[in-house]
Amino acid sequence: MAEKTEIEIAEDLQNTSRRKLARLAGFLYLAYIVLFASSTFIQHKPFVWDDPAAMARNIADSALMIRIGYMSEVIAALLFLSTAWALYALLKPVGKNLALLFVLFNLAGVAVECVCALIQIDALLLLGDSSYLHAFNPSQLQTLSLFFLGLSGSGNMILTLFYGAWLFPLGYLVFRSGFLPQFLGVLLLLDGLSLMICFVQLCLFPGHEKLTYPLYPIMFIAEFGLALWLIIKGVKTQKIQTPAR
Amino acid sequence: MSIENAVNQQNATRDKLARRAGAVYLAYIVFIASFGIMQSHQIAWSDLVATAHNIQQSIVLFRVAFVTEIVATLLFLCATWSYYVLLKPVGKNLALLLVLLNLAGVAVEAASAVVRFGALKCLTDTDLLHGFTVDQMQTMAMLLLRVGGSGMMVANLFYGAWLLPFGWLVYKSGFIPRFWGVLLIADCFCLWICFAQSCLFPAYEKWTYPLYPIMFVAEVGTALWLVIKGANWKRQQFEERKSN
Repeated sequence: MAEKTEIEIAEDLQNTSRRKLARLAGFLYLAYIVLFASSTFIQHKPFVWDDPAAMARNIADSALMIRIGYMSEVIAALLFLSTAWALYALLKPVGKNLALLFVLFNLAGVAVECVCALIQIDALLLLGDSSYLHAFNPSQLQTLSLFFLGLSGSGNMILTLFYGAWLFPLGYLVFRSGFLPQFLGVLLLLDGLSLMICFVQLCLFPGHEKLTYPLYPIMFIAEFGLALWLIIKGVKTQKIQTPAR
Repeated sequence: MSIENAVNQQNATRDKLARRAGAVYLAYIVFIASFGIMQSHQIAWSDLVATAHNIQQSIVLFRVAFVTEIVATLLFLCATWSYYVLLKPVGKNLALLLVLLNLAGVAVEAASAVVRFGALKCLTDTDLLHGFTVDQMQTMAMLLLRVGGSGMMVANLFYGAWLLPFGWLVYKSGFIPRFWGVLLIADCFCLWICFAQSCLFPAYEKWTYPLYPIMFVAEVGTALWLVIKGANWKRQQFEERKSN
């Protein structure tokens, strides 16, 4: 066998580091999805919207669970930002500036998410720990708590905008990359569009979440699909283009 | 000869960068520490009447504390950016990660400072809130202080996380002793333990006290080292070897 040329060595190096990055991004993304889903699942129980008294009882009973749910939501946000960074490192060769743009969008979303989460946890624990809240009667406390929950709900609305926006440059770069399948790029763009529709729905027609349910499968397949693809299939090996002589 | 000049030039630039980064970081530490002292003078977390009284007595101090914290976060971000510039040659992507993680923490801290500032409105803006009793307004103020306080808890997750790439890059750099890199990574885990404690067992802050010396030495030590020694650790070693 002939010795490897310099170009082949460079190709090997590039492909190995790219494969590692893809795997890292995939694992971070999957960890984010799992943690985020479980935090939603854990936090789900206390929300009995039409019966504040029952909600208060739920919260008092499961304060530690709520705290764990909250903690996993914030850690999920950290993982999401790390995922965006790993994807940035992976896709930078395709388009440096656009790659930076999607990290920045993601960062804005992460910051908003953390702020929402902290307002939300306080709203819930307000009902649990009332040692210093005796100036208000229970129904006032419940109202206050619902008010804070509503506030963090509007935060989640803003969040949707940024978490939708980052998918457009991401989807475009995946589409153009040449080492990831084009259909994943298209799916991510559709996912971005779906989140934008969710944003408009939350802004203009609050209370009609039903309208956006048909979009959920797209969002799920796009994000879960990307994570799994990166882990299982990784990236296609690529030849370095040599200038035509 | 020209190569030697270029190397010297590079070392001088790096040295200046390192000293600047250390100085900005020290300024941040001074600001955040004085904020902590001012806040502890005013806020008694378990006594809302005393807290309300303290704040109403010295509104100016409360405002100064607020400004100090916001300026501190600004300085923190500046320091991080200087570290980014300093460490970019060691690892471009990881240097960016360090800034991103820190920026997330800074954004959360600044937002939570605004919530805490709302407590002042509750206690002083009586026209606005005449529908509530004094008791209720004091309670509201404490509530906002506590909501804002949990913002610091969230910020700690990110303030820990950025130290991981930072410590790693310092370790790999070759121009800052590896010791500091290891200490910074240890500092990261200390902050994560603090985060977990304040999330899950908010009443047991005591548990994390043994970690404080590590965090203090890591953060102040790195900054002081950079200010005093700059970034020519390797070169010094090299010269020592040459003279032996």
